[in-house]
Amino acid sequence: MNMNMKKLIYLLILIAVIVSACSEHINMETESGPQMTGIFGIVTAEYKHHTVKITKTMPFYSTDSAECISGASVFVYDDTDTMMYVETEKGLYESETAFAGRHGVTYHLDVTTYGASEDETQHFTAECLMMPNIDKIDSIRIGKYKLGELEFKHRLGVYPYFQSLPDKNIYYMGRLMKNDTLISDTITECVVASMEGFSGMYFNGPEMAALSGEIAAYSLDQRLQDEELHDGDKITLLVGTITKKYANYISDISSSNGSNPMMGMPSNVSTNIHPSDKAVGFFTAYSEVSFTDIYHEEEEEE
Amino acid sequence: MKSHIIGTKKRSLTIGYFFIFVDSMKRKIFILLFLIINTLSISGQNKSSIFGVVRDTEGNPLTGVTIYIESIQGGTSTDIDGKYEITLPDGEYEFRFSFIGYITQNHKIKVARGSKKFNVMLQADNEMLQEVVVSSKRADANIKEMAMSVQKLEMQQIKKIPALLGEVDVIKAVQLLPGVQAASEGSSGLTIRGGSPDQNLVLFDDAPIYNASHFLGFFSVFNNNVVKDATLYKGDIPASYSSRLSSVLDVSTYDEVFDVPTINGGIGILTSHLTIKTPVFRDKTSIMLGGRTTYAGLFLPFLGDNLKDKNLYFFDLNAKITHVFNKNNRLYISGYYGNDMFKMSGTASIKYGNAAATARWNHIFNSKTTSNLSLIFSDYKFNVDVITNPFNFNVTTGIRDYTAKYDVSILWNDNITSKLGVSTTLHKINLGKLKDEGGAITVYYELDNDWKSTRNTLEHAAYFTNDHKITEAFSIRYGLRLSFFQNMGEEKFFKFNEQYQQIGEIDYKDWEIFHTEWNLEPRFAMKYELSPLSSVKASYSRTVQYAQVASKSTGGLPLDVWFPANPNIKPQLCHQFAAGYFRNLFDNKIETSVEAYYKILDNVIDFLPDADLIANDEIDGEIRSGKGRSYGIEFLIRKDVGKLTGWFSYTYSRSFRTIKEINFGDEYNSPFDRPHCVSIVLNYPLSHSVDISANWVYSTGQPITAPYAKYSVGGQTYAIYNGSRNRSRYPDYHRLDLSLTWKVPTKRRWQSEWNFSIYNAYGRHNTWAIIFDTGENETIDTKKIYLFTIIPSVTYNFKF
Repeated sequence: MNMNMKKLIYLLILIAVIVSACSEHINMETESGPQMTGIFGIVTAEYKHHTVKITKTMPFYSTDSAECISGASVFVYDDTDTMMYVETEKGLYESETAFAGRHGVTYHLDVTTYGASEDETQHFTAECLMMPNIDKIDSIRIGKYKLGELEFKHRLGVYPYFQSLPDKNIYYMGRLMKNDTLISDTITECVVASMEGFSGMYFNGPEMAALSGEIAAYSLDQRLQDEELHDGDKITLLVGTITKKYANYISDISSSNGSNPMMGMPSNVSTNIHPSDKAVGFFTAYSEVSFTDIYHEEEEEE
Repeated sequence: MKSHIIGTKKRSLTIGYFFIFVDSMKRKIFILLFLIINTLSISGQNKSSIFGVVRDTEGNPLTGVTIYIESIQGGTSTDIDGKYEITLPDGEYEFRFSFIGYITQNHKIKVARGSKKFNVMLQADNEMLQEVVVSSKRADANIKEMAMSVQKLEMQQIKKIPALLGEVDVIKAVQLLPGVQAASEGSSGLTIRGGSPDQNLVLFDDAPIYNASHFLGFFSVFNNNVVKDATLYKGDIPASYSSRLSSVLDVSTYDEVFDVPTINGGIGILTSHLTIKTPVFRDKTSIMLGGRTTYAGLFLPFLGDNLKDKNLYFFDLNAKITHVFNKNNRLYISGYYGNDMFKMSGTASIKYGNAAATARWNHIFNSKTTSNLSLIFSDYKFNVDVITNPFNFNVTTGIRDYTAKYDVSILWNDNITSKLGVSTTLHKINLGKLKDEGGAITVYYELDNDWKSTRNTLEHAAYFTNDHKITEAFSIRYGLRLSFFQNMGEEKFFKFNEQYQQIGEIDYKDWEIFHTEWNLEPRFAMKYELSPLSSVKASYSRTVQYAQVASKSTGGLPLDVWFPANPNIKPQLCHQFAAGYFRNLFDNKIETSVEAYYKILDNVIDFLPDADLIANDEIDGEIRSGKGRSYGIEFLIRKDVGKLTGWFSYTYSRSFRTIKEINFGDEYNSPFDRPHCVSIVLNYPLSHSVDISANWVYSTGQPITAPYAKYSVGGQTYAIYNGSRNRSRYPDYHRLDLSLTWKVPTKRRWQSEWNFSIYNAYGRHNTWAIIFDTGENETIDTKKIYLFTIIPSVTYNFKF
């Protein structure tokens, strides 16, 4: 059974339970635990200086910004090359030279952080395969697609048409730009689709979007719904291919919003940084293709 | 005492004694004496019988009412169904019907020409010491009886407890008993002595009810107008019941032959109900029909625009036929059907419900031996229908049982009673069945997406149990249940290794048995009376559970999927030791008790946070099992006599689990660990027509896994957990409920009352869930979700 169908079932039950629920702020007693190192890095197929950000985790109720880690040794390597990273601002490390990631290549991240003493030196590693991407997006459809009577019917939908890849381990990530500004600007606004069971089939607009995941703004996240769309807006859809681990990471963040009697225990967001008991974050590699179209109100479809 | 023995037809009596029945054993001795005397004193005088039923004004039969005839200085008393029968020489007699807490009635009755029926309705005397619980239970039953860890609630008592939304509810009443808590706010799930809700066997006229909730738990499936009583076994579960680790809640409907038709009804804010009880053939056959429904859905549009296209309703129907073939043979056929629906117009609907039916033949071989042959059917289904093209699909899960069982009770002598029996059950479990209904799946790709995963199992058992009175003060009970469990095809069985990796699959054919488990489940209990007002008791039981719910929820969801033990998943086991001291005060007017228990659990299950439990063929790989333990002490002070009645209970209890893959393998709080619980239930009649009642409950908040840190990335902040489980808690839970019942004074047959109740009277926002909202500047706002504030309600009940 498709995971999205399962998610939908839980969503429906949740709606049924909390039709009249209210909420209020509380202070909850939190656990104690060691401060961990947060590492987040991306390699894309775009020729540019790539970055890795290194910070510390913060106490749960802290109002301070995350503490950045300076002076770390950071490099990314593949089978043939090693790219050194230098700290350009506190906690932000940028590759010394510009480079473009290549499909089918596994990229390795190596980070060493240093403390006041030798005992505080920590070494972290991660790796990620850059998946092959689709050749192109054939077209997109922009509109307010009617999904039954669900509440998303008035929401912006941007639906791609493309030939998907046969590899079932490839997941698809969708991001949106409006008038050349990225509006999927947080990690949970990137929508993720699994082609589980449909790999290699033609991605057929909204139908496949709903079937396979939440690609192209077909998200349950309300923030995209808030995005107003006007006649003549330039819409660009970016479709990237990512690993299952990164897809899970995005999905974990989206669902790590607490506990309730229906869903049971919350769990830690996954990570591919090792050692995983000392680090959080992710190191990923992906490429994106895009398709741009102009929004016309008459294109809306109910 | 059975009236048919007293009323042996057409025999004359020389009654030179009378007796008050206070003890069933004594009664039996009297019966024997009576029969002897009866047999020896036949004469040629004309004799006639007077028979009938004594009820209270609610229509409930009264057990143990003394019927005294002054002129012969003798009489009888009513049996468990409120019936009496007495044979007398023709003539006119003054009958006195008396019962503690009720106004005595005297009637002159002419006895002549065969049999004559004379029913009596006794009115409660609120000025007198009043029995709140009208039952066959003797005043010192808690001292004299062997049973411990057992609580019986009769409907009359339950009706006095303030009700959520005015709907009197058996489960909500049970949640007020010591050692019992609601699984979560508003839920019908029970957590008993630290156990999970699926460790309770809920029976409705012997049929198991797998999800006893309506409205996602706000109401239970039990219609209070058809329920006679409910008995909760928290420990020392009788060997006759199929096993669950925590408890058995046995809910029974009325089973007497009604002699006059009555109609009960009620109209509340959200629900209404109607019940008809009527004789079909006089003293032979009667029928009971009950129904409830809600119109909550009508109010949803007024709660907000987003609820305009939604509908929410439930209904349930009860039916029962009681037929008396003769004095030794009775047949009871009862049925239940109920459904809930939450519908979003044109988009999706969630339906779930139970169907249950029981046919029981009660046969009395002789005065010492009775038997019950039962055929039982139970079916629970959960269904989601999604019609949001391209998601057009339907998913069902459920469990269906077919059971046959035969039980025999034998009274060997005054000191030894035995029960024995056999049973067999076929469980057909539907882990998930997906049916595509013409959505994109088939339209675009012509895929066969009709998928299902089923499990079939057999559960057989044979048991015996003996109650043995060693001395007047010392009694023991010992018993043994032998249970067999078998997995049976048709099934695609997946093998897993110790790392929970799938290592192969086997297709088993229909009815092919591929795995058998058996277990001995011994029971032992003892009671020693220290004095007429005090006793000590102890018990041990080993119970086994062969099926459980796959759910990370602690609240009991309709989506809960049952799955059985098999070669991958061992059955859960529980050893429970309990001991208690019972002391009555003020001539049995006040009962006090303290009970302590310790439970050791094996193969107890839990889940990793990311376990995939819905419609998963390979669900066995998601299960983690280990050990558990619970212990606690329960204090109870209960007053059933007098104007002010009710109880106070305090429970201290702990519940832990140790599972290798969870919490670093260290012991952790089970989700149902709530150390301190207090319940206070009070009822007081202000006058003949006005009763007030209140209850207050308190419990430590339920455990949760709390974060300790946060991490911000890509514009998003998320919580970090340190791997320990259930070390934090929700805020403590407490709530006060109030109710006032006004019985409209009337001399007509139509009787009515208004019930005004306030649930959560001081508006405590008890936590149902906790969520973390990412705020600005990478802060996280912790919010609790609560379901209820103050909920007033009014219900009009009537009867004629």
